Amino acid sequence: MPKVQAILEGILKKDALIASRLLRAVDDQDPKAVEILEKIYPKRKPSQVIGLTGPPGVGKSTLIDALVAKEREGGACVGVLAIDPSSPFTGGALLGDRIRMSRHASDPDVFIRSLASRGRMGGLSASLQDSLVVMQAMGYSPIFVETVGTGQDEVEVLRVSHTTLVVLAPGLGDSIQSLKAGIMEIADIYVVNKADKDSARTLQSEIEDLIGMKVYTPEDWQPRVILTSPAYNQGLKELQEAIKAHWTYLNQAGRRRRKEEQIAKQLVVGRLQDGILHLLEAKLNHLLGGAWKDEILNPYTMSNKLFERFKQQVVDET
Amino acid sequence: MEKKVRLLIGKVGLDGHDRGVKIVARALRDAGFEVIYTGLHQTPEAIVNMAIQEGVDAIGLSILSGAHLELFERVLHLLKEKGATIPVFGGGIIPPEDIVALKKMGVKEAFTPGALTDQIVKWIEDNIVPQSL
Ligand SMILES: Nc1nc2c(ncn2[C@@H]2O[C@H](COP(=O)(O)OP(=O)(O)O)[C@@H](O)[C@H]2O)c(=O)[nH]1
Ligand SMILES: [Mg+2]
Repeated sequence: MPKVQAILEGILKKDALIASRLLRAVDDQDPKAVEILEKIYPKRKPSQVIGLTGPPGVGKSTLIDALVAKEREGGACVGVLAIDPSSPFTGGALLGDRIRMSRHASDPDVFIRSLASRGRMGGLSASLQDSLVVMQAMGYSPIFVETVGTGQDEVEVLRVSHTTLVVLAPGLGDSIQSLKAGIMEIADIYVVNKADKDSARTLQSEIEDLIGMKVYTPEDWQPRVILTSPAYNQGLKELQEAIKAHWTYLNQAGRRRRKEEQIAKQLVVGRLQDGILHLLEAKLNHLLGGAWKDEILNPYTMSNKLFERFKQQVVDET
Repeated sequence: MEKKVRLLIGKVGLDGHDRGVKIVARALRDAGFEVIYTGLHQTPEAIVNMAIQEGVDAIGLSILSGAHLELFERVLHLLKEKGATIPVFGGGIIPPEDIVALKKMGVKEAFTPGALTDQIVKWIEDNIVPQSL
């Protein structure tokens, strides 16, 4: 194992080998990674984290590929974190978002990492946040995060983003309805992708109607709806500008600081929950080990009794 | 702490057949591995770059174009050049004498189209360990 100092220097020098090993440790929730995360946290670049969510197949990866290309034209070093679900049965995952980003594969200034959602104890957003910290310390800015917008975990993930894009496309059934409830409220920018298709405009006006029902004060960010088609190089510049405009908005009136404080607080809570759960698990097993031998099992009586015992032993003592 | 074997599965070279490699990628996922699938037509440079960024424990390449010797050699060379010690295995229509040559070169294992996905899974389970810090 390389020394902590060597890892630290490697990260700040954008050493891909060292970074990927650290990201791996982060992914595996290796406690050794925390020591390094703690040290690199203050060295982060203030990179804009842009989260993209939406149903499978709407073109999130294709859009990221195009946005990365635009950022590269301007000379930015770009990070991408693409999350795909793990199978709850086998734990395996097939991560295929990179297929759409092939043209950046040999570019060392584009760091793309695929993440499997796994069944993480502290929740996905905590572990995603750890990966973001590594990429920000390496100096990647902006960083795109891709998640499928159909599960709770995925929606949680968006809490770590500065700017949230909900991506929809015509012809994918009723895409608005298929999304997790609440997801339509979190978008800073709505993207109607596959604008080359006929019904794109219909979808656009549906979304505009939805936004129109809300009341915004002049202080609020007014969500935008943008039509894109990466294949035809349509709407990309506009989308890039909207993303930048949101960043500018956040950087005014202390909004970004407040947002980042929120993210940091979440991380604290997530890490604490994780640690406490781990601790408790051992205690719980100990409690239960003896309990099963008791009289016939009424699950209500049993859980009440155990909870009382548990409270006395663990909570009241401390 | 949960450790998972992570694999990069891809295709280098010019041939456009990805049915076989997709079947393998899915079988590996179903066996509980995390599989990063790169798609078709990758260059050795891209494969090595992706493998490093993704922090994988092994690279599995499918080559059907007949250019396997040069392509594997290039991948191994680039890995070495970048200081990465990621094991490489392969699959494709590879004549037996070339399998010998590939292994001599440093390719850990080569599967021919007759190989069952179970055999590949078993080989990974026996030979590939998840990396750590
Ligand atoms: N017609 C059309 N197809 C697109 C467009 N953008 C992406 N696609 C296609 O949509 C499919 C899914 O794209 P992908 O980026 O993988 O979607 P994701 O699952 O949301 O990441 C691919 O076959 C893309 O080529 C577009 O603007 N127009
Ligand atoms: Mg995708």
